[in-house]
Amino acid sequence: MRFIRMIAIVVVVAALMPSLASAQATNDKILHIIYSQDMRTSDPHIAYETETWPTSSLFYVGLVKMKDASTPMPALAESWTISPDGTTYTFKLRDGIKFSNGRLITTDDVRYSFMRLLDPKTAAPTAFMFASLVGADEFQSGKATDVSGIKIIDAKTIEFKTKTPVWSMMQRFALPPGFIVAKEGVEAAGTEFGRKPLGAGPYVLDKWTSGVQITGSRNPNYYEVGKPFFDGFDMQLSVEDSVGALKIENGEADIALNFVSNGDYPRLSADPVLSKRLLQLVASPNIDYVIINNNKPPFDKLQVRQAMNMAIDRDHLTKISNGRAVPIGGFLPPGVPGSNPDVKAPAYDPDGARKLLATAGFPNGFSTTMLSNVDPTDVSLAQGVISDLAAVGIKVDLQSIDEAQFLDVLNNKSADLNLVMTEWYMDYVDPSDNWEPLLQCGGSYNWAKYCNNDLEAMFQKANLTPLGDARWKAFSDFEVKVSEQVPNLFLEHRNNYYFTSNRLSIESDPGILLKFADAKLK
Amino acid sequence: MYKYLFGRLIGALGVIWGVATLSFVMVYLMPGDAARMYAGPRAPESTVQRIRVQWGLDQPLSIQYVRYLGRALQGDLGHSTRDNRAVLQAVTERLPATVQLALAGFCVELLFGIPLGILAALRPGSIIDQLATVIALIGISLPQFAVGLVALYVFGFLIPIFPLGGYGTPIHLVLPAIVLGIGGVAFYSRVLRNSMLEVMGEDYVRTARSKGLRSRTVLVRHVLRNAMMPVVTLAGLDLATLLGGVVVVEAVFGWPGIGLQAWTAIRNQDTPMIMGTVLFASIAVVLLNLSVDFLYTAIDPRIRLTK
Repeated sequence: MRFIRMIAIVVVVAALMPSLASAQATNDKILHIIYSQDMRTSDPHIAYETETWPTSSLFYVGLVKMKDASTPMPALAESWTISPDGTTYTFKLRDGIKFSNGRLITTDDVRYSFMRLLDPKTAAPTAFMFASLVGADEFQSGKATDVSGIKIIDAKTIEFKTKTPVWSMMQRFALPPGFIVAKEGVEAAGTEFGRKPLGAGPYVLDKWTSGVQITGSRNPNYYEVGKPFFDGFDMQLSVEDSVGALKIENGEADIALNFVSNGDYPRLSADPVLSKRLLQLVASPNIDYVIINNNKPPFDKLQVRQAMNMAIDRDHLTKISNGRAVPIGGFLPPGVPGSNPDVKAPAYDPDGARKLLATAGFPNGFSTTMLSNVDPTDVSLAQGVISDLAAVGIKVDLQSIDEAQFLDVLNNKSADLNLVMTEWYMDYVDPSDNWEPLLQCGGSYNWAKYCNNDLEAMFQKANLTPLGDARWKAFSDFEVKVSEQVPNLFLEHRNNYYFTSNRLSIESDPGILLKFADAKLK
Repeated sequence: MYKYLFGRLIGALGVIWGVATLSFVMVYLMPGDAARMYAGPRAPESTVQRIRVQWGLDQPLSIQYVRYLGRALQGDLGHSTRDNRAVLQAVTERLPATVQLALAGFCVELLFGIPLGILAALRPGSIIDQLATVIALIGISLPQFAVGLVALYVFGFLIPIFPLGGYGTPIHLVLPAIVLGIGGVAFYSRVLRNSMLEVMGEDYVRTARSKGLRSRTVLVRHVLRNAMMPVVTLAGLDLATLLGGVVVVEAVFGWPGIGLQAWTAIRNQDTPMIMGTVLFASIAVVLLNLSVDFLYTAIDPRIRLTK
């Protein structure tokens, strides 16, 4: 009895005791961010992940930023002009802009930043975004010591010249590869620059403890007066997804850099209060799709690809994403400028698929393989597709391998590929970013080496059309033609969400994912 | 004695070298292209090749191995191919967290495992013995990630006595240490129980009792001391494993230890980091085994005499 009484006292005291945990984040002016792993880097020229891009935007800023997917706004540059032929971009810097260490920013710093991005020694994974600059190829191959397409006009004016019109260029300037870094910071930090940032962004680094925490204070030299709203930020690292959701729910954290997981989404979206705190990502629109090796029989037959397309029950597949996905029929996610709302996935018709396969010479179907990485969503989607294909006689053997091996096979053994389950997140919201890497002849993600010269010619024509309605119309028509050829099985577009605290007001950025500089309390 | 010590140290170095060599070969033979992983799929082949040359990955395996050994002997374990940081610095940064969690979990195992084992041995076949068995089985059967998440939900969210994961203060250590230790309690209690039962049947224990020594004296001076040998062996191996990192507990609680670091390295094929964490883990195992050997001689004088 004494023992039971003792236990009861302990439980009651514990329940009444204020938490010994870290203080609730309800009233302080610190932006509390959490992330599930260690942060790889904040170096904008090395960052290329959905967590490192917004992290680099805490410390850095570029010449422009994006108001929405197609409208750039002044940032470090107060104005710019684009030549009528779309090959020359001339920026004029604001007066008195400084790095966080107080030094004035000039066009020398802008030139330095882009040279660093393109320098092969930096090995920047996003250097391709500015490889269209005149002289970039020569510089990267070592034939030149300079990028002739970057020209300083004066201390405040700088010009960028591309070889051909690249109408998504302004969006690229707003992304981390276009962020301006301080040379002295790079040289002082060496290989640690990723953890010792020095830029002109809204915050300055206080401390970076690997795997634990990153903290920063407001940059007193930030170019936007009155911003950032918060006095500083505190990013906790290595916070497991489900635990992170709990932290945000109870106010310990304001936002997680991880998207809401498949497991948490149904609970959060169904709750009338918590669902209002889901922030939909407007950047990096995604498509989940199956690559088909059009060069290998039987996939070289259009009828076979069409039959496979008809055999897939996309409505059923979207259930795997717990309601976050919508079926697609084309290569562009819905909402992307140029995406054609009339291009829909074919109706689920297994009988029709079987008839088409018979017409193509496969009345009994055939056997093949599908490669996927071990990401649970990809594996689930692959299994869903395989099940649908099996129902029409196409027996698919799934091979799931880890990411490193997956990339190795895609890069080095692409001739052996039949089907590949994969996904794509756009780097910038322009339709060219879903064609050039995925389906253009020689595209960097065109693992199955798809090459259709007719479609390529149509793409080039659309891509040379300046920004505006004409460009979107051209891509809209292009999407119709692409979907007729069924180069891949475009399955769904998955919406991603951030979970935010009750007190945080923040918008998603169409380029760098989150507008940290503009975040404030409600 | 010193000859013995020297001999064991040489043996230990040999083991470390063997582990480093074997893991070097295995890691480098793993399929995948670390340079391509770092540069990203959209980087041109020229950039990827430059990275390979920079990292020495274009050299034959034998040259890479010799260079690796040479640098390692000078304390340079290379740079992470994921974030370009010095591996030695990255690993040593994680050491305090790893040691804290390992020791705390180890203490939980001993704190509950030893008394449970003693109780079970003193009352074999009783309800206490059976309860100890059940508790032990539950401890082994429960997956750590599930226990950890439930513990966080209950004691970090519903009844917020503890922080919701994280690192930095002693209170952050409590829940992960308990979750980590629960499984080990079973092993220690069962091993000690069985060892004690064996020792309690020995003639010298019967003699000690018949001499009129108090039960506590018999238990501590005669039974426990002789029954501890297998427990000490287990403890050495256990602590070495814990110091090598416990990925699941570290991941659930956001504990920045070597286990999580190793897991991230494996996923990114960060070869230098994989090698660094393997090397550290093997050093921990070897040193702890050495310590266990010396602890034997302290516990059992007969071992000292034969040496």
